[in-house]
Amino acid sequence: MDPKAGEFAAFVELRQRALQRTAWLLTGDRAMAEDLVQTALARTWPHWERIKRRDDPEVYVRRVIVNTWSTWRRRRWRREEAVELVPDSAAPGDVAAEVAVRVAVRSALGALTDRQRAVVVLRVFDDLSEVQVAQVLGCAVGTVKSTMSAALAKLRADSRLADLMERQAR
Amino acid sequence: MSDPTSEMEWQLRKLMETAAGDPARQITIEMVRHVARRRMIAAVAAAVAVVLIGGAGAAVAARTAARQQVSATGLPSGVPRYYFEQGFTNSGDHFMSVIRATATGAVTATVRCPGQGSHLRIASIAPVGPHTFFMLCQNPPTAAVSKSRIYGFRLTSSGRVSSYFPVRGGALGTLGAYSLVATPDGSRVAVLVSPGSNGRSSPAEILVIDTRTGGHSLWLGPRKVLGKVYFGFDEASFTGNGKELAILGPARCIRGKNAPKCRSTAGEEVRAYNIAGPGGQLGQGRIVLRQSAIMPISLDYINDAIISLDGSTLTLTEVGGGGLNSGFVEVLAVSTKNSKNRRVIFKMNTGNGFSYRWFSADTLRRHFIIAAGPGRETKNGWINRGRLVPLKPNQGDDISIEAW
Repeated sequence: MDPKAGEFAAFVELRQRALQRTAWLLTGDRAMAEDLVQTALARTWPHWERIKRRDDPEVYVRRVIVNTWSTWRRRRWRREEAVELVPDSAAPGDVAAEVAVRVAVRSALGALTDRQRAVVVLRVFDDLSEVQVAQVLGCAVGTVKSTMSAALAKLRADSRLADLMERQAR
Repeated sequence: MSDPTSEMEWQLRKLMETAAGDPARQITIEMVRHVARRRMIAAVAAAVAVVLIGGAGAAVAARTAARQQVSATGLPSGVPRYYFEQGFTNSGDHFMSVIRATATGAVTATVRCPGQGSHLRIASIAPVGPHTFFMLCQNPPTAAVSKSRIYGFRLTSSGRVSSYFPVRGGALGTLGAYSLVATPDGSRVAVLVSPGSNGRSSPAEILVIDTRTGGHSLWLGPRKVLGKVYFGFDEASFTGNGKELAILGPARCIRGKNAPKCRSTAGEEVRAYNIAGPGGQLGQGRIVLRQSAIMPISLDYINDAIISLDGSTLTLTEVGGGGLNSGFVEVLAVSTKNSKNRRVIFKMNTGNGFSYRWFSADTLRRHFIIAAGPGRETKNGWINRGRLVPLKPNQGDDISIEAW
């Protein structure tokens, strides 16, 4: 394996899970999240030599993910949804509680605008700094701050989410 | 005392961690390489196809000449010689807008929003007569919409951009415009405005611009009223005289606690609105077509509706099937007088039913571009007598806008 391929393979192996989780929070759909990450990585691979010279290539990959997602959202066949097959095996843990959280989070994120959703996922879940989020989204740091503030205000008003957070805090 | 915002972010993060869960499948380097290889093969195949089409085109043209009048470019008479295409660059991190020759797919020009160092991108485009387009230029979607402006450009006979020009009345400021349509002569344009854009609690709006005087007339869409049918705006097209807009959108009951019951078929509708006046509140409009009259509303939906210049026909795209392996896309011409009078212009099976696509018409609404198909095998082309004539890029998956 040539060194370039080896480094890229290592990156994929190490980060694909985290990228898929981010993609799920953006799309709310497992199959689409998988497609999104694969597409983003496939677009990144030919330029890996250039990308890896950056301080943080993952920021670049996340930028491709957000931009690709943004394009998919703008395409007008957004009302179709991939069908997710239910795995035919017993799931461990408290499935009902997990599903309730998943439904509430997906619904709350779904009420945000695309940009608000991207900012919340990148800033809160991926723990990127405001500067990094601004780099990913190609906007000013001030815009990230104001978008985040508006998004949190919307999420605060979501009663189902508020209820879950309160229960979690107890 | 802890900072309430940080506390909320922390709580939110914990919930997001739980919700995101563990991905069911691991993405491997082999899967990524496979996708990347397919993208490269598709690009090479497209180049080869252009060469082959060049050779085979003459033979095809000779056969079809008996039935169709053929222009010097090998295209049937009336088919636009050039089209606008906006898609992803290979690196996938930004858009590229180009003009391509319909016959060969060759790029003849790149298109950009005017202005030195302009970061505006083309959000919507409308053809206005032969070789002229109007485009809605906006900040990227990832930035706050702080500027929208309508510009025009003309093409030379060889497909190059001869000039850009600002459209009179096209400075829209911070208006949350999302779709641009125009009359065939470009004398009137309309932009659809998102409900509640700019933080205002307003219904959807339609801004109509007279490009000869620069005058604006703003039309307010219907408001949501509990217990009443609400009609939303998805897509619009002008009739030829520019006095009416045909709008496709969902019609549904607004339900709520103690709301009176209302009846709706919950399908899509096409309604015609008279927008000849100075603006004001739009009423319910004239219902031109109900989805339930032509197709089942549980599995199928109308994704596009374009009205003919004389208002007699709607050209619709129906996305149907709903099942995993039985999806299809159909282009239908339906009479606005009697919806039973309809014919299929084009049909494509999309298999798994998960598709991306683009559909648009030329200025005279006679020739249609469609990009449709399952997932990563989306086809892109123009419809000629029930068949799809390929356009570049072959894979429609990367297209965000196409128009001619």
